[in-house]
Amino acid sequence: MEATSLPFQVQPHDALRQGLVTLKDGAAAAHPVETIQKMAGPAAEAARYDMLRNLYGTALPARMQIERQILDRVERLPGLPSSKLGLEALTGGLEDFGFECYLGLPADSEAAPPDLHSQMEQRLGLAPGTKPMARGLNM
Amino acid sequence: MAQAGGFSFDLCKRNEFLEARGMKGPGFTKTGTTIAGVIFKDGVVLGADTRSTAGTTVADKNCEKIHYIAPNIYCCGAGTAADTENVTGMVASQLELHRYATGTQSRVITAMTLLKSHLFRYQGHVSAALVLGGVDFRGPHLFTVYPHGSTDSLPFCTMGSGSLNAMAVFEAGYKDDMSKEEAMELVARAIRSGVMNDLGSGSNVDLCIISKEGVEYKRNHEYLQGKTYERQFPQRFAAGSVPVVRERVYDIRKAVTVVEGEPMEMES
Repeated sequence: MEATSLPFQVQPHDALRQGLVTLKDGAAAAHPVETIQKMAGPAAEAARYDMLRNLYGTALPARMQIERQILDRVERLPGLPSSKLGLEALTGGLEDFGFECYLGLPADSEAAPPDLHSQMEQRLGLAPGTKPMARGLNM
Repeated sequence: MAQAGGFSFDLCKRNEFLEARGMKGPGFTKTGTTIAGVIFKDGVVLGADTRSTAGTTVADKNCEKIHYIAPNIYCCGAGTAADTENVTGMVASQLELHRYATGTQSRVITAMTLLKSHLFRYQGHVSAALVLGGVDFRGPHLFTVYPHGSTDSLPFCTMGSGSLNAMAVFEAGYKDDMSKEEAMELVARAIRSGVMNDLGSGSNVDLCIISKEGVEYKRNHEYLQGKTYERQFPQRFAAGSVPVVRERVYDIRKAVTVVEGEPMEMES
């Protein structure tokens, strides 16, 4: 998996913004639970779509994924919290209550959020020169 | 900054590094525990001791180990205290949302499935060993949930470090279709054997009786930490019977000057 391989450095490293280069730290998972959380959601979803594909053919999961994409796009400007009510109703997330609902909420974070301009540039692909990580954005 | 909430793994690497250099981090509070449950004629009796330990220290002499899941479902927890509390709390919230959506009573098997799927997902990192009991329209149910997500459905079950002592009592004394009083007595006896014989368990006995009519939560049903014997003629020492070897008095006024200031304006 990508988790164990080093990422390619496609751009010159910006030491002033990102500190000294440590590719290993960025690549390896810090804790086994982090790997579990990253893998569990997508794996379960892929298995569900596989099951639907076997049961009903390829059209139904394709259609469901389109619906999902449509509902996923309805959101506020990046950085502002979006409830994504439609998506939650579709996926059954309305009834879910997990660690992410009450632990380490972004609203309680002590770190300043990345600025709206950087986030918007990243979304539109306008700032290929700087790594998003440099400005505290998620890749 | 994270986009969504959840665990933060920022300091894991740093802690690992420090521990490799010989730092010893703080431990966590575990519930070395005896918990047990029994199905009787028209319901379920759950029982727990009330000691929580941190290493070899007793961290709490009267903690609660029977957690609320739904109005008709309760759950005893053993393992890491924080994990049992958070897992049961999270499942309770999920079932509450489910009841809002469906308007029906929660089923015990739903709670069991939520618990086991969560625990299996985390592969034992969430260390909660649970005894889940409740009554729904199908009748009384009792499950044990192991930290890795496997479950058992049994008429009587025990968990925690004192589970062997409690199970010995159950295997000797269990009968089918017991009355409520018999079941309460049996569970209390099982917990008591854990309290008396297992070092990780101690203090008092909590009971929770769930039947179709409702829930009876008996906190400190048996209070076992009272002093049995007290000295009738205790030795009392008169004041001054211990000789003073050395005495040093510091005059702090030489080093410190106290200046009276203006009182602060409280109203603006």
